[in-house]
Amino acid sequence: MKWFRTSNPYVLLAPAVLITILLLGYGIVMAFLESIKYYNQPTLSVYRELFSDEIFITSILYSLRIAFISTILSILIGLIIVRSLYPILKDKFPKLIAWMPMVFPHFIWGYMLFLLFSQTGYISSFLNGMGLIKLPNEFPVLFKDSFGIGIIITYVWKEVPFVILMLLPVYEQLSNAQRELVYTLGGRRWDVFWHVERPYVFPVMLETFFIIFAFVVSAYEVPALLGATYPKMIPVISYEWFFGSDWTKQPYAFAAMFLLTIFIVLIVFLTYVFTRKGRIHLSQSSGSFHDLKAENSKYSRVLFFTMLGMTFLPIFILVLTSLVQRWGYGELFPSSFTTRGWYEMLWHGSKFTEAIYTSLGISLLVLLLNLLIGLPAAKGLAFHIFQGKSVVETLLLSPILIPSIVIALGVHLTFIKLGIANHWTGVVIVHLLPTLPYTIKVLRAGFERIGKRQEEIAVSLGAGAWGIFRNVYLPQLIPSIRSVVFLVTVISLGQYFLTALIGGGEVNTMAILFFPYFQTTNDAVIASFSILFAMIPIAVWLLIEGVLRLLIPKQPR
Amino acid sequence: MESHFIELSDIRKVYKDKEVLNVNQLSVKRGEIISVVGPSGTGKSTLLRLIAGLEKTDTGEIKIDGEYLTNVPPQQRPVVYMFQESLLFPHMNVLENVAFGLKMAKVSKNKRYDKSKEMMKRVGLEGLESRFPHEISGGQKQRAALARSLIVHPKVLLLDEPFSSLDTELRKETRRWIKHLLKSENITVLFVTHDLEEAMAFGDRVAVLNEGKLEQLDSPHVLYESPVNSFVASFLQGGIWTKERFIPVSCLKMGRNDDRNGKSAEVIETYYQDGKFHSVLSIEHSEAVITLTTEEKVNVGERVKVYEG
Amino acid sequence: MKKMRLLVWIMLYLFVSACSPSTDAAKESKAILKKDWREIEETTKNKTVRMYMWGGDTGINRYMDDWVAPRLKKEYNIALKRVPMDAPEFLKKLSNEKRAGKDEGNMDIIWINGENFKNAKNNGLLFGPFVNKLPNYKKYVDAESLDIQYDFGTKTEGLEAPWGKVQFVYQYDEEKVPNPPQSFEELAQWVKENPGKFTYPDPADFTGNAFVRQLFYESSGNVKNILDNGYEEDFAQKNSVKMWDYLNEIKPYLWREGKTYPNNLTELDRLYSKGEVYMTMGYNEARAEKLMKQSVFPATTRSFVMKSGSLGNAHFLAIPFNSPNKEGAMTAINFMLSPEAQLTKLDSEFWGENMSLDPARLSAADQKKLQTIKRGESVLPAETLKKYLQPEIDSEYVAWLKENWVNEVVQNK
Repeated sequence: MKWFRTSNPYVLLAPAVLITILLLGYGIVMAFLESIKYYNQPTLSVYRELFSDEIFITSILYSLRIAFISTILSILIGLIIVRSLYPILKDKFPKLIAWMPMVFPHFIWGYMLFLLFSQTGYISSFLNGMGLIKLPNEFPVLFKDSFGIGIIITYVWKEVPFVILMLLPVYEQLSNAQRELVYTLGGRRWDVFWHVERPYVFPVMLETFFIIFAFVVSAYEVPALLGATYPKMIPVISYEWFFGSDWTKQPYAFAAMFLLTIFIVLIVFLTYVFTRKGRIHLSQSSGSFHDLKAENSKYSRVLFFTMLGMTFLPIFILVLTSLVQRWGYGELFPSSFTTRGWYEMLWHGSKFTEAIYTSLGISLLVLLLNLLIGLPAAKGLAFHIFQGKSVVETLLLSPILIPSIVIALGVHLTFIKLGIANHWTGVVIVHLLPTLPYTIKVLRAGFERIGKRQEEIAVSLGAGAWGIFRNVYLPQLIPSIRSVVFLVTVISLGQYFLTALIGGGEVNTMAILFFPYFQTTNDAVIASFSILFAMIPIAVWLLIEGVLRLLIPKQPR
Repeated sequence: MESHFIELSDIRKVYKDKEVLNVNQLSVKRGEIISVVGPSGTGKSTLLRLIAGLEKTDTGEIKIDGEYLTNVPPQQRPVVYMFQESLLFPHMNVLENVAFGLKMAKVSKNKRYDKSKEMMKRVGLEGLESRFPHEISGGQKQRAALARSLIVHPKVLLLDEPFSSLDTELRKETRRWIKHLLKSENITVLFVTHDLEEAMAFGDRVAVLNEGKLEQLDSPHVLYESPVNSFVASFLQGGIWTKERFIPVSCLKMGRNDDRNGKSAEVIETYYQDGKFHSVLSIEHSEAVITLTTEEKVNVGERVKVYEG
Repeated sequence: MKKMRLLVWIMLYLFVSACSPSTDAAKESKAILKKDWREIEETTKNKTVRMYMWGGDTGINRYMDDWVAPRLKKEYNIALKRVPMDAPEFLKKLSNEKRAGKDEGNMDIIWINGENFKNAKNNGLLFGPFVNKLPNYKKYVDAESLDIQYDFGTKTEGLEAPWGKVQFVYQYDEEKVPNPPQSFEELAQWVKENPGKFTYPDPADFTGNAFVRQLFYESSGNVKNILDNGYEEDFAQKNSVKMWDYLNEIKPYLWREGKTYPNNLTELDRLYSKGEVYMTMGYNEARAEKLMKQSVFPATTRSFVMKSGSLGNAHFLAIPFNSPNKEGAMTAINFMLSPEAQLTKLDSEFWGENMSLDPARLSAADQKKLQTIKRGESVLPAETLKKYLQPEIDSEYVAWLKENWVNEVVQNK
């Protein structure tokens, strides 16, 4: 804990920065070299070809459009929910409910919505059973349409909880007095939002925007599952180039993803440069707690129950599907049930238990490393202004802005050299990549909420580094740590490609064991697995919750 | 010569190429209460933070009780710092807040809670042990914060506008009993405030700071009667300067339409207090503002003469 | 600052060393191939063999875990570990290992064919040739037959041993389609009469590509033409006109008016399962059996092949260049080529897929056993399948069709 004593931000940030550079740096260099075919004659022909390829350009525009619409919608809906519901959501269990969709990997969520909303989906079937529509094709085409409605619905549904997770702490720290002040000065509700909430909410919203945007524009699973044949999103095309049979196409995948990466990272960097002034004020406040009052409790109750419905409807459908053997179109009830899906899952016996233990072990280790590296880094970012802060911020966020296939090659080569490929240590370290940025983000917001004055008081009263951390920060960081536990386990458990590549078959997590089954047609099998898969992060969360309770017996309110 | 309890010499602090503090020499006796006043942004808080060790000095030495503190980390300095806001830890109840310093000193639980309860009794917070900070009033918070500071028996207490968040009456009352308490504990105190009355009432001596420099450190009486320069005089509103000579308010009179030699002034505010009319006067061709008493009422905007008499 | 410098040096070192693979592996491989079979079997005792294979089918997985693995353990004391991973992924891993010069990996057997084999072979990722070391290969496999000598137009050259054979068939619901089409002409007719009830997967998918490929055979007159010609873009362009016309002609009558296609076979199967379309298709002539048993497909599912021919291919087992246990891999592969293992695999309880062995070379008892195995009602008789069987063509065509389909069919409005 010595690093905690120092107030030098460079020292606080060094571990996080070093590990990020180590993991990313070589990967990006390799990706670029691959894209210019350095092993033959270095050439930019791939880039030239891409820019003159109509399909590629269409696909880029299409991807940007989908990403933009999904991101904006998610943020707006998330903002409305948080604004109206934060007094309810600050309790543990409503919070868990709001976060629930996050425990399902994206493609599972997409698959659930597909089960619900496709032309022969449950809703269409139900309407038919009620005699409201005659044929499946009377039901509107929501999935696999050329506009990408299905993709957008899935992303919005899935990202709103993430927006809630990011914005909730901000609203918990907003002062009611300021709000009343605006009202007394003749401001309307909009003015309250603009003058009281926006200065705090906007920086976080912007960051959330980039995280979601970068994710949507570069993620493969959902558009691969729900996208139309044409146009395809850019990640789908890139994955086909990358994993496709024609290995000479690989440079195109690298080039496309490299361009996308540079574009996003650059925008994020510029945003940090332009917004950095506003943010530091947040951490200078004293960090007192405020009484939280809902603005209009009537609507908020309706909204809460809508949210509840939106969370549990797909999950309910999933549970049902896992037990249904045959449910014909237009039948109000399934004609036969089966436990086959569950049987198939549990049949794996020792492999299954091994996978559970491996997954638990890995996610706990990843969590531990995340906290060890993330806490000092988050503190450094929250409380210090220093040269090159925008660069550091961009760098620390970049692992989630960069698609994993871009850096996979470099990371794998590095890990083979270091001798940690095909071993759990490699997997744990590589899982830092998609998790650490979130940890730093969430903890930084936590530190900002507490403010640095409390540390000064404690120091002046004789508290050492560990004493301050243990007595002042830790208890107040619990809500943030809770979010971190949740995010990190969910993300770590959902990693398939990086785990497969780095673990190389030696590290059999749940994802490795079960992801292949998503290629079956048997819905009961997929549904059973999805539920099982979602239960693990919840189990980890409850486990950690128990540990936290033992560690910190008393919590405010 | 009497040895000083706190001694600062050649303290300098620079932020971003701007000198915010430059104090050549400042000495405080044991048990003395020093009020620090000055326009805002003149480095009052910085001075306290340097002594507390929350910030590092660029040059100079700080000595407390004969010990040089330059390389002593803030945790080990015999100094406690108190902020404007009470800054109680929101996740601890009042008792835990008060006991915090003892906990850091690894005092056993029973012992520290006993001591804390005793301290709470002394600051008049009996019965509020299990309340959380948001459940008590502003004055109570301030008392709790003081209790938290005093429980570690600091040699020096640094108070940074501790009463500014309280209303006038509560503020006066609080400052009285705090002064009483501090005196009875014989604690050396540096006290930053922007309220002149408070500074005079609280401090044994008052330090006037301007643009990072210590202008004068003297008892209130000396300050008012013989300020060392025009800044101190005008800051304290204690009188006017004429041709290198200072005339304190106690030697000034004012008259209407008087032909006598004197300075012209404009009445900018009047109020009635303690059976007298008080007139706040702005002296022409200078920045000085003084308050004089008269038997009869004058009106705002009236021009008068101020003369020695 | 020192740290940064160190980091830069580490990076440079990694970079430089990554580009210089060593050649020790080659020598070691030769030594193994010189051993006689008994020696090979002896050295495998008490070792683990890791087999990397596609893991999306519970039946196949159960065959491996519940039938093959225990027997290997009992008879050879080999611990077989099945690692579910898609071929492009484990090949990526392998090629990275090759680049990093890692001579001792952790994969012993990989399950590949077609383009994946071609890539593996061309990039020197495979160990061998080893198949002629395997007693069961020598005894039971018809090494002269074209579908074993060539894997999608690429010479196997003993680098992979055939594990099974599958044939491309169409599945339909007997209840909804009483007279299934027998040719592409009849199919077009049927599609027009039943708008929205037929579609095929995007040719970027393995199955979708096979559907288009079959049409390409017909479009170019005869598969022999293509085989004789090898891969040539001009040839492909000239001979594909009829195929694109056909696909564009049926397009408006396809599911969703051909505005979109299933991304893969799983999606097509799901559409079929829900009754959105009346036909599906795929490699493995017996694939409908298991799905019917699970009530995913309607019980009235049957299959047909086009009179103009049905694609068939073999899939293979190979050993990576850096397998740490090549002897064990060979022993395990040999076991999986035994008549016992192959006959069990044929059983639709497990997998239901055709043997890679030549039935004529089996012992009388095994031949009898083969005849008694009932593959199920949806499976066409062996004679019918054999009659229409056609070989695969150069895998370059797979990529060509995939790419041009987008231009010719999807963007054609």
